[in-house]
Parts: sequence; structure tokens; C-alpha cells
Amino acid sequence: MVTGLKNMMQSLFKRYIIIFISFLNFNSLYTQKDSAESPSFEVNVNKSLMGTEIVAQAICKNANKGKEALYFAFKEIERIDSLYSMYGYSSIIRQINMNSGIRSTKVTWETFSIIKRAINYSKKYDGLFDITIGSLTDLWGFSSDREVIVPAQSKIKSLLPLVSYKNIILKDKDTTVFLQKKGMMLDLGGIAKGYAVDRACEILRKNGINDFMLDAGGDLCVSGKNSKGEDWVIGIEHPRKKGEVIASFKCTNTCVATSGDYERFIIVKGVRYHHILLPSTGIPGRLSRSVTVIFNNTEEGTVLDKYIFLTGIKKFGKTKLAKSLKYFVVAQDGKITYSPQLKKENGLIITK
Amino acid sequence: MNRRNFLKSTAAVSAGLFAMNKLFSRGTDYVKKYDVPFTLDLEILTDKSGKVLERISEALPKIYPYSTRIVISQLTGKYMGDIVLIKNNRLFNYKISDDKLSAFLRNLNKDFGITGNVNEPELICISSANSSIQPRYINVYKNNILIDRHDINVQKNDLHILSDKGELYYSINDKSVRVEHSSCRHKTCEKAGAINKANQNLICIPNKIRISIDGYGPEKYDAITF
Repeated sequence: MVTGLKNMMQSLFKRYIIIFISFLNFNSLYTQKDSAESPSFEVNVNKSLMGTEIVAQAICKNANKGKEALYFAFKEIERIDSLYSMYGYSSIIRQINMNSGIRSTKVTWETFSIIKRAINYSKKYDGLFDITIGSLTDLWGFSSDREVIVPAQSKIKSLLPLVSYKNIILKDKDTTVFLQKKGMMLDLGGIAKGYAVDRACEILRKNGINDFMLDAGGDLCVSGKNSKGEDWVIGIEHPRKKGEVIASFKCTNTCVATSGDYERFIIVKGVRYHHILLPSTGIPGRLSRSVTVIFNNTEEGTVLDKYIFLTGIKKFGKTKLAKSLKYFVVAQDGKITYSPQLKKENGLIITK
Repeated sequence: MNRRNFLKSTAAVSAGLFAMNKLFSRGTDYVKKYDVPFTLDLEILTDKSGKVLERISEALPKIYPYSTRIVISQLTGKYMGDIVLIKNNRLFNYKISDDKLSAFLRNLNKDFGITGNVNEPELICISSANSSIQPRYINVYKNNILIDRHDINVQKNDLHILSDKGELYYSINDKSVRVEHSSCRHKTCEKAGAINKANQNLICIPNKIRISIDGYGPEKYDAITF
């Protein structure tokens, strides 16, 4: 009796084990078949905005949902562009500049906040980032459509007193902005593009898109995985060989910003004049060729790369920030310096 | 069967099923990425892009179960809506073919009236190929036959092609190509402007001319920061 029961139990045990194993395997077969049956769409939309080509890419199962999310994101970039460009007719910056030295301008909380953050960046980064540089960028012509010229030294000197973030008066109570000196001009070009990218990414996430890339002329944000289901691979353009890549790395859920002396520049009598101006002298910084920064938001990332560009890697390398930040710098002599984390965590490859 | 034999056979069956499972999954993955039955390029010019994309999301994966890349461009002005299908690098007449994809496109056209006059349309380009490869050559096809090939870096203006029904002029400048003039009525190829990325096409259906950018790769980078 006991032996019979034992045999029966053994037989049941064997049968169920086989059924259980088979179930496990076929269940996973089914799951894989299911995933293979629903491929992803990589939806791409490009637009010329903020003086550059903005490329947005969303990986999604529903192409229309991806397209709509990208369109909402572009709408936001367009809105920010029209508000914060220096010369746009509907730009609040233009209005603030026109009222400089005359009266304060009432602005929205959003505008007030972005100017406030810009002032904080100026304090944090030794005044090397300064949105009151507008009169100088206007003089050089880097922020406008007109031809870039090398201005007379006397003209640059005459405008230097107009460049100081300390002369921006903000009143929290009624959200007003006042530029104390007549002729002062704000130029939010160094911060607005980063802000626009961050806002657009927020919109993509709110619309259920988690795998995406938003590239605003080299200042970009990546999230989730690319269309191959891998981390995003970002190349850094060679500052002296157009169309070639000097290095590359993998990343996800982060922002990448680059500043270089090779995008907007003129060469006069063998001297390169570019758009990253030193607020204290009004002339282009001479210590770097390009600086790439990987940071958790694009807005501060775009400020940081300019700060490092103007500080120079020698001085920056000694700071506390250099130990924690991921960066890739090509100095004016062509020497490459990068943070060890970029190699270790992001698999930096130097291609030259 | 004793316990040892039973465990051996169970382990063997399990390992077999597991291996089959892995092989199968790798197989689909491999097929999914590289071994598509045919390369697909589909261009739809429509002012109903939302509805068209909904239908594509729902139906295309059942007919063509591979990941595809979609590029959407907003165009300005008046156009003649159209659907163009390129299979294995050849213009393919979906109106008369009896495959599933052609039937789907015919239904798409019937349901949304795509081939009519459209204002401010969107161009939806769907491609199975990797468009992020480096552009290298400009290929010119007439009646699906390659008739000319240029390096993308050349500067050439007013290149001329004589077709059975007319003619077309195109130019190559700054690593991009554009149709300067076409004798066709719709002028879609002219209005499409310049193209500069690998696997992009300029297509003149009436003249049966296609100018496409060929590339080499694979492209290593998703984006370039500068």
C-alpha cells in the first residue's frame, strides 16, 4: 500500500515537473514572439529654430503618438525662441533692452525666473557667464543675421561698462526687470537654448515618450534607449576638421552641451574671432578650442561649457567641480583633457 | 525508469527546449535587425498625417514586422498628395500589385483620399534602412535603372535627364541635391527642396526618375555635439 502510494507520488511528480518546465519554456517563447510582432517606430522631426537645426527623435510603438509628442515639444521650443531671442518682434528680451536705463519691465514669472537663474550662474561661475553681454554680441554681430565684423578696440572698450549682471535689478514682488544703464542689452542666447531643450524633454516625457533624443545644434538631451535598444552614442565634432569626430561616448538619461570656437567665427589676418566672448574684455576667449560637458540639465550644461571654455582647462582642472563633472576639453594647443569618469562610465573613445 | 534516468531525461528535455527557445529568440532578433525580406521605402504626402500614422502604427507591423524609421517633414504650399513605394531599391506600383503591402496602401488611399490636392501637407518617409549612415553617392535612376552616379562632394549645376515623357534638371551643391526643374505637372520633386541624408529620395513619378542618396556605414553615432 505504502509502496503503491510512493510510486503514484513519484509518477505525479515526474509528470508535473515536465509540464512545469515545458510551460516555462513555451511561455517565454510566446513572450518573445509577442515582442517580435510589435516593432518600434523611430519617428524623426527636424526644424530650423533658435538659429540652428533642431533634430528630435522618439522611439515608440505608435507613430502618431510619437509625432504629436514631438510637435508639442517643437511648439514649446518655438515659444521660448520667440520670447527670448534678442531681436524678435514679440521678444520680451527686446522689450527689456529697449527700456534699459529708462524704466523697469513687467515680465512673467517664467521670464523672471530664467533671468534670476542666469544671474545666479554668473555669481556661481565667476562672472564668466553674463547675460548683459548683449551690447557686445550685438556689436560683433554674432547673434544677428548680419555679417560678423571685428570691431574697433575703442568701440569695444566703450561698451564694457554696460556689461555687468550686477546692474540688473529684479523685483520679486511685482516680477519686474530693470537694466540700470542706458544701452545695456540682455542676450539670453547662452541659456535659452538649453532651457528650451529641457522644457521640450519634459513635454516628451509628459506625453509618454521615454526613449528620445532632442538635439538643438549640438546641445542635446537623451533619454532611455535608441532604436537599436542601446544607450545613445554621441560623437564630439573635431574642432579643426569639419565633419569629423574627435571622440565619442555612450550615455542615457542625461544632457550634453558643447561650446567651440569653430561654429560661428571669422578669420582676419590669420586670427580666429569667435562668438564666445570674455565679458570682462569683450574679445573672444583664447584658451580652448572646444568644451563638452555631460550634465543633468541642458540649461546649466550650456553655461558650464562656456565657463570652462573661458577659464581654460589648466585653471579649471584644479577646481573642486572638475573632480565631479564629466567633461572633454580640447585646449587651444590641441591638447585633449577629459574626466576619468567619462572614460570609465561612458566608454569614451578618442578617434581624432 | 529510475530516478537518475528520469532526472537525466528531464534535464535533457529542458536544455533542449531552452536552447530552442534561445535559438528562436536570437533568430527573430537577427532577422528583425538585418534580414528583412525586402528593403522598404514608403513616402506619403498627405494633409491627414495623424490618421495615416495611426493606421500605419496599427497595420504596418502586421505586414512588415520590422522596426522602421519615420521622418516627418512639414511642407508649405499646394501639392498633389501621393503614395510612393520603393521595394528593394525599385519603384513599385502598389496600384496594380497583389501583395499585402500594396493592398494596404490602396486601402489607405481609398480611406483617406491621399492622392488629391493638398494644402500645407506633411511628407511621411518610412524606411527600413538605416538613414543615419554617412551619405556618399547620389544615384540617379530612370525606369528603375541606374543611369548616373555622383560623389556627394561634387558641385554640379543643371544636370539634365531626358525621360520618356519629359525632362528634369537637378543640381548638387554643399553635399545636398535638389531638383531645379521638372517638366511634370505636380512639381512635387521640385518643391521637396534639397535632400542631404542617406536613403533620402527625390522622386518624379510622371518621369519615372528617382534621385537617391546612397551611403556607407553603419553610422556610429546617434548625434554629433558641436
